Amino acid sequence: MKQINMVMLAGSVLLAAVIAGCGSSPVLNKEASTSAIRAAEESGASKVPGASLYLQLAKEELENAKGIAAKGDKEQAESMLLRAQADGELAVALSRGDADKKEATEAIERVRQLRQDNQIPQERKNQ
Amino acid sequence: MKPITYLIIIACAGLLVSCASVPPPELINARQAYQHASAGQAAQLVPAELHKAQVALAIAEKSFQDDPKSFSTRDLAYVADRKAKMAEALAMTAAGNATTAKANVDYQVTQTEIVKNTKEDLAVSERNGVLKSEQLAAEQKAGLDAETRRLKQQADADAEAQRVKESTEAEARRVKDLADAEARRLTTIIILEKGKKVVLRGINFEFNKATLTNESETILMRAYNAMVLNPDVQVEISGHTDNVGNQEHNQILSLKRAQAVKNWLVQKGIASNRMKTVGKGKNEPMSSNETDEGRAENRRIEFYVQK
Repeated sequence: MKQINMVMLAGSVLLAAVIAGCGSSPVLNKEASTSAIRAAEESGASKVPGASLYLQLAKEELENAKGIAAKGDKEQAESMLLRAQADGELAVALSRGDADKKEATEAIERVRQLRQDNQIPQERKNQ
Repeated sequence: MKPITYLIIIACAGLLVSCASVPPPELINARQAYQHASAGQAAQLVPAELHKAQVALAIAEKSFQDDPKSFSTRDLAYVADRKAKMAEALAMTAAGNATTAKANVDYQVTQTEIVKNTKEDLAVSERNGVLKSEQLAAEQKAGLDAETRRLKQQADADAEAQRVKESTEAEARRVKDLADAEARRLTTIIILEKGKKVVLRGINFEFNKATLTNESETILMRAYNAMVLNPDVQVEISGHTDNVGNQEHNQILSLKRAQAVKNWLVQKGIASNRMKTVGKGKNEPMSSNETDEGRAENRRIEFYVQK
């Protein structure tokens, strides 16, 4: 009788574990998407008009993925994470592109100013 | 079956096919984005990124063919769209970097040009400075030379003026001395005192003759004045010679010369009886006949006051 009780207890625990496992959301691999979003934030994408939109989309898509995962559809959630990652990476590229564009503009201005200060014709900068 | 039935079946089949092949908006966007990117600078500047976009689009297209309406197709198309945009953004970044690099090179080239121009300007300035210094030195030297010449000319002119002045003064003194001597000579009064002799120096005759020279008239005039001032005086006019020639000749010559003096005074108005003449010859010399000066002293006329 005592053995029968022990077996039933173990079975109950195993059943509870199985039920609990089946009831929780699937584990998502969000590392790539979150890394992209973090990189976009660090590159100042939120302050760049062309990049801030994609950063915002990436964040929303990450939240959507979490929501989908919470509903148990891991496959669709991971597919949504691809969107988040792509938007995050695009935000990074646009943010850096904006900085590079500013740097190029400043470099051209430095040359123009140098030539103006030293009375050198400006047209030669395009040669 | 009637032809119309075939047409209806074909139309329905075409409608089904067309409905099944309508791409989702994400895929349409992805295609457009890739076309746009491949037409721009991405193919040249970031071909690897463009290739990634191409691969992503191909995966989305395959997914579309396999399962057109799946969320996976839409998400893959979405990712392909972003990959294409990414390629375009990176192409712009690469272009910006190239522009920056070129601008930096231009900056260095410009700086080099400025340094070169500055050196050339400096060299020109130095050359101009040297030329100006040389010109200034030449002008100063010319000025000094001109001033030196002017001072020398001034000094020469002053020396000439001084020389002329001294010469003029010397001439004036000489003329004055002559005038004074002449005045003294003209104003010297011969004093006639009884029993004394007066030597009339300066009465000269032509050589070996008893003819008076013109220079003798001054002393003769003084003798005349003395005779006029002393109307009671009687004098003996004696002629004297040096020792040249014989005694008889000198005796006669001295007498003739004394008579010539008397005749001159008579012509001027002195009474003949107040004067008598005598020839002494060489018997009463005043000086030595050994020298020219002594002999000149001995050739003379004397007045001896008798009364």
